Amino acid sequence: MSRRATGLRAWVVQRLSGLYLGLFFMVFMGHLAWNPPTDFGAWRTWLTQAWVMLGLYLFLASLLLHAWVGIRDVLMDYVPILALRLLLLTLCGFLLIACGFWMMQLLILARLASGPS
Amino acid sequence: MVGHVELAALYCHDTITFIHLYSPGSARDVPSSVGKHMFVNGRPVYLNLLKIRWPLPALVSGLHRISGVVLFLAIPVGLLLLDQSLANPEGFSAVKGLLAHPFLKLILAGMIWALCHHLFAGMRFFLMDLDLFMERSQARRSAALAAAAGGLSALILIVRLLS
Repeated sequence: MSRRATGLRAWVVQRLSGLYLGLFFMVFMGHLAWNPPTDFGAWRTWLTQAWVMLGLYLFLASLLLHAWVGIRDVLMDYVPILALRLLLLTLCGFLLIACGFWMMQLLILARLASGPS
Repeated sequence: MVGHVELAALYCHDTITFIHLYSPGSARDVPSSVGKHMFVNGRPVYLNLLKIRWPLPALVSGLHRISGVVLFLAIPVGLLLLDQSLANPEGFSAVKGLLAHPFLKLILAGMIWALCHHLFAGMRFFLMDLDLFMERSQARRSAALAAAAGGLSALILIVRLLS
């Protein structure tokens, strides 16, 4: 793909992931604010329901994409030294990938621990 | 008559979105010395962010950026808390106790505001991408609206979650 198409694709990814993150945020924070989990069992049971898990996985994918495009834009705007920019981009990229695997793992473990539902 | 630099400063961050939409990649792929390259009437304009005026749309937009970076840095911290809270009942109580600490409540309140502001300022950009609110007066009004909506929703969430 050409450089122009790369920019457009990043832009589309940022907007679409932002749209999902916004919707997820409203539902998730709404639940936390108006129906807060009272104890560990309630918290894990709610979070590991099939539809909440699905929502969390989509959230994770959207979050990683959105955060990547955003931090990439910021670093490209404010870090003019190429070597430093590449270093920071690499660090941020690895951080996001690590966070992605971490969250996937903790969700799967929580789901397994909560037993069949 | 508004000078080029003043005009660019007026729209500041919003211009970035504009450039990004109509010529994706072209603005960002230019290595800039310090600050940004803006294009007004096809001419690049250098902006020193510390010296330009920051009208409301620029402020809302700048805070959208800053809150975005803060939220990026909060991802690992949030995951750590989620991990602990889901590990075992002790972890859940520990997280709950930690978040009840006054100082951490203050940090959390700041994070909630960052999230709410980022959301509403982002919605405004979304609408501007659809060619809405592009007049200067509309841009100012929508910026005020986004800031107010972000602040109000943050306040509601802070009261519900932290009191």
